[in-house]
Amino acid sequence: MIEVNKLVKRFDGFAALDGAALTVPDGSVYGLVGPNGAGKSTLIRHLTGIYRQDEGAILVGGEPVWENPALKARIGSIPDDWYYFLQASIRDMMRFYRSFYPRFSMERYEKLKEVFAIDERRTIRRLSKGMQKQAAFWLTMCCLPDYLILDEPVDGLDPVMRRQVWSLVMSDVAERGTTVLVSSHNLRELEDVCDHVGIMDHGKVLLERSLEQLQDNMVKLQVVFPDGMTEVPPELPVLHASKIGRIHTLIMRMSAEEATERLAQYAPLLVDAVPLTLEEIFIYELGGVNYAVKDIVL
Amino acid sequence: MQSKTSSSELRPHACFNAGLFRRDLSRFWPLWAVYAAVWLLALPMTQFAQLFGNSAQHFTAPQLAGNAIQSMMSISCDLGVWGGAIFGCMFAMALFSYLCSPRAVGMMHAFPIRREGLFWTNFLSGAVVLLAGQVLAFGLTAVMQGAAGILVWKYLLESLAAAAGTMFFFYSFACFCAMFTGQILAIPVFFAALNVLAAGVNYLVQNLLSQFLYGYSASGSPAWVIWLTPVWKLNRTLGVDGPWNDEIQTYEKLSISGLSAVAVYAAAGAALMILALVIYRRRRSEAAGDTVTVCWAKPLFRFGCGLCCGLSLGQLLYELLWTEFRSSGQSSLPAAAACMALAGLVGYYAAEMLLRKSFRVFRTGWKCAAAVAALLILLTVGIRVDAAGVENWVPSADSVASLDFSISGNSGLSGTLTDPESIRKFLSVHQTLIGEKTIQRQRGMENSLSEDTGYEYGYLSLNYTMKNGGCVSRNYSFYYTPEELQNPNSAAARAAALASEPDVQWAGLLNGTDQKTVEQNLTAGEMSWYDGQGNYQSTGFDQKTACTVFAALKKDVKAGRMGSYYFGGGNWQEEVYANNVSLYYSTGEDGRINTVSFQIPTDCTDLVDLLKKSGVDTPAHPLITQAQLDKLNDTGKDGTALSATAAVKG
Amino acid sequence: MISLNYRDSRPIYEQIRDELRKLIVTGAIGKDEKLPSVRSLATELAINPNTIQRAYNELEAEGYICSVPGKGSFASGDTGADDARRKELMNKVRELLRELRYLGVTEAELLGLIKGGAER
Repeated sequence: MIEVNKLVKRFDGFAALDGAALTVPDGSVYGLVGPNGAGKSTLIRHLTGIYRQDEGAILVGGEPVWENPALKARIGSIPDDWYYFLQASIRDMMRFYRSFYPRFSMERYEKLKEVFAIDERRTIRRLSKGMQKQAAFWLTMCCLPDYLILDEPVDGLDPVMRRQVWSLVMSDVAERGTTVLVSSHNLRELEDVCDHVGIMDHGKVLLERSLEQLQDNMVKLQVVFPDGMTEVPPELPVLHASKIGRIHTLIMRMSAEEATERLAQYAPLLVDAVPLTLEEIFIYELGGVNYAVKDIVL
Repeated sequence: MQSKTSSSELRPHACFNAGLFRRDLSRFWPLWAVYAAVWLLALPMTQFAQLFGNSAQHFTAPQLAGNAIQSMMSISCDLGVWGGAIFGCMFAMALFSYLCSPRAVGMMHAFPIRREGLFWTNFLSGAVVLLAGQVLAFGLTAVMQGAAGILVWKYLLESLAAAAGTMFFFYSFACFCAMFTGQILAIPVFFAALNVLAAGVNYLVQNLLSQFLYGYSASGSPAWVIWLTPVWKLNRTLGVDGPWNDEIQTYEKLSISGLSAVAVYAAAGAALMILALVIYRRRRSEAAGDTVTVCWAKPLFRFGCGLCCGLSLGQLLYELLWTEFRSSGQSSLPAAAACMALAGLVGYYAAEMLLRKSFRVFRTGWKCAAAVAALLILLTVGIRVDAAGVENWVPSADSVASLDFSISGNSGLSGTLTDPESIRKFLSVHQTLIGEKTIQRQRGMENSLSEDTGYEYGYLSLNYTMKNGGCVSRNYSFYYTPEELQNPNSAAARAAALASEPDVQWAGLLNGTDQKTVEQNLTAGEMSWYDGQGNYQSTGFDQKTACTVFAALKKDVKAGRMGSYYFGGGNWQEEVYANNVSLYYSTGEDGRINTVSFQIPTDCTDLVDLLKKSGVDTPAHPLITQAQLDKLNDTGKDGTALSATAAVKG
Repeated sequence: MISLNYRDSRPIYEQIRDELRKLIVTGAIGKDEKLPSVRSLATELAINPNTIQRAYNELEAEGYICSVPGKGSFASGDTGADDARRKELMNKVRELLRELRYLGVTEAELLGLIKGGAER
């Protein structure tokens, strides 16, 4: 389990992290979303032991990360700008990684060579950005981490490779119970792979839920009220309501069954529960926080 | 089902990582190669050339040995210092370059290794290469010397120790500097600046002092300043010692002097290494790219830049502006203070711009800038009013080891004194001069404003070498009237009296050389004489005569018969022979010839008799006073040589 | 085995659940036949295994499959399944019927459909 408690980090007086808190349960895939400048990358650098916080605590598997080589050996991370030595090939970097990570698996290395189909002897500098990202994945997965921290991991990969990479990661999650934290802008993609989601802005985690909670607790209904009722009854707890002709679209914070039951008393002509996408859920969840949510949605 | 791991032999150690070590060695191999090449060219190659090259046939075996070993030692010392400074800095820059790039530092600090492990592994890579290059070079040298049959392990190991110790110091120092900055190019700048900071500030402050204080000279440096400037100290103390054997024309029993200084610096290097680790642990990863990484060093940097800029640029500005207006000896406090304050502000804001990486720094931080300016003004004022009492300070007789002096009025003498009694006499004159400082300042100004003031000029230069190794120097220019010379309490009179002291005069004649050295190395001498036709000729005399002349001279001087003609007064035209006598002696292996030269007062009966007896003073080339010479020139009818008797009688 | 429609706005677990259910109902997965493991589906579809697990859990709750710890999940073939599921489907049929009636489909046609559809 990854636990972050009231994390504060200031750079020259500016609070990049302002009491951020999140919890990633073991074996889950946690999506961290937020606009640019929210503090996602800063938080991630704390999780990997690069930055030291000013206040607050970071615990991975119950232990603090800072200067903890035994723990760090079980954490794999891919930053958005992966570093490699100037003249190094993938093979060179592999040797370098192998000397640091005791669990590094040559077997997996060879297997993944087939998957990624990149010449391991080519200088990394000469590869395209997408291929460099693949190389980063390749090497990090070979370290057999228990915790995987990914910062915009599939940015720049083609759709086939995206699928390949996620497939690899999900396989590890299923088989070895790897805990994954993914930071991204792209909610549509995260919907497939995450089972927990947290949204960050201005250095704080505003909201964090499991996907189940989110999906089961909000519903979009298309309702046609009987003749005579032109407006939505005011006593109905509605997050959002809109109307096209006689069809009302209502967003309500309850399960589909409950909503249908509540509406039944009005004898509507038509009640149709439609599932919400993650984007929509966020928009309406945060609508109450007076928040410019449109930044998040791509 | 776990995948098989194949890296169990590379468990991460707490303090060292073999993979990183190997990576460091392979990544920067061009740098290591250049370093090794320099050592190989400097030592084994030159040894080879000296021992087996074409020139070797011109020397005997002991000479070859002496030359080769002397060259090995001297190269080790020089390369140790200069190579150490240059390569030490470059190694530190290479190995810790990752700390200057956010991407790189992100990778390294995310790896499962503690900061200590990263530091030690990188530091060790550099240290191993430093040592390996030296061991390789010295190993090959041993082979060469062994083949030539001149190998003495003691000399080789001494040279290796000197080189290794100095290089280790500079490398550790450079690593220490690297911890304080996140900009790769700032490392050599900080390194160079810190290396010369003490000497530089010392020079600047002394320059300022000499502008305002009477007699202050900027050429002395306290011992601690020299210690804090390693290149200077090592250049001075580290060297090859060994007596030159004249018979076989080579060195004997060579050794490296100053190894104790090397040991001190090596210990300092070890301390700096530990401190570097401490700073690394405190340093934040996000500081990559910052000019100064540690927060408590930032105000130091700002203030330091402000003060140094103020002292250096400020004085430069003052020189440029004021030289046009001022007359020599006159200084302006307001101008100096203003220049220094302005330059201080420039320095402070330049530093602030570097720290913040922006040009917009003027709004905040003006308080500190004002503090810098105020400090500089205070310093200038303090110096002007001599708050530290430097102007009036005279060293205590017990603390002075030796004195290099120079007194002159109409003519001068300079030499070295070590006996406490004479030194005390000088100290008393020193004191008197200080007492007259206000008057002298005034007279100095008058003198520079008008040509005809009626003052005579006197000069006293004092360079005290203290027992603790430092040196203090003062140069006093003073003006006196001929009447003042009669007043025994005036500085001029005292200076004149000092110039008449037998010990002082003797020291002036020897001019810094040891008496025994002169005595034992006299080779010949000559005397100049006037041939009546407008030319000065000289007649020489042999070594034996020279020795006797020297002995007689000593007797006359010690008896006080040399007289006091340095500060006006006395009738030197009639009382001193115009002939110039020179005694030659050689010192050292380069066969340089030095001279003891003097003119003989008529009172020096011993000397005059001796010269007559040895056939130096003959009627053909006589001793003749200036008065007689003048008369000769006035009344001489023809250009033929006159009889000495006639000249002397006339 | 299963394909996902990414443009479908339904949650993923629902899509998987429905797809699997369809396979079981149509007999593509026979009685006591083993369903693909959570892990293999996650790898194949590149989606979260927990999501897949949730789909399996719901199918099990509905009675379409049963899981044996250590062995996997199997189609249960027990058609005496969920009451709630029955209700849900009946509601859906009711809706469809309403629309069909609106469109003017006669009762006879509807009866013919039911008879025909019930045969495999």
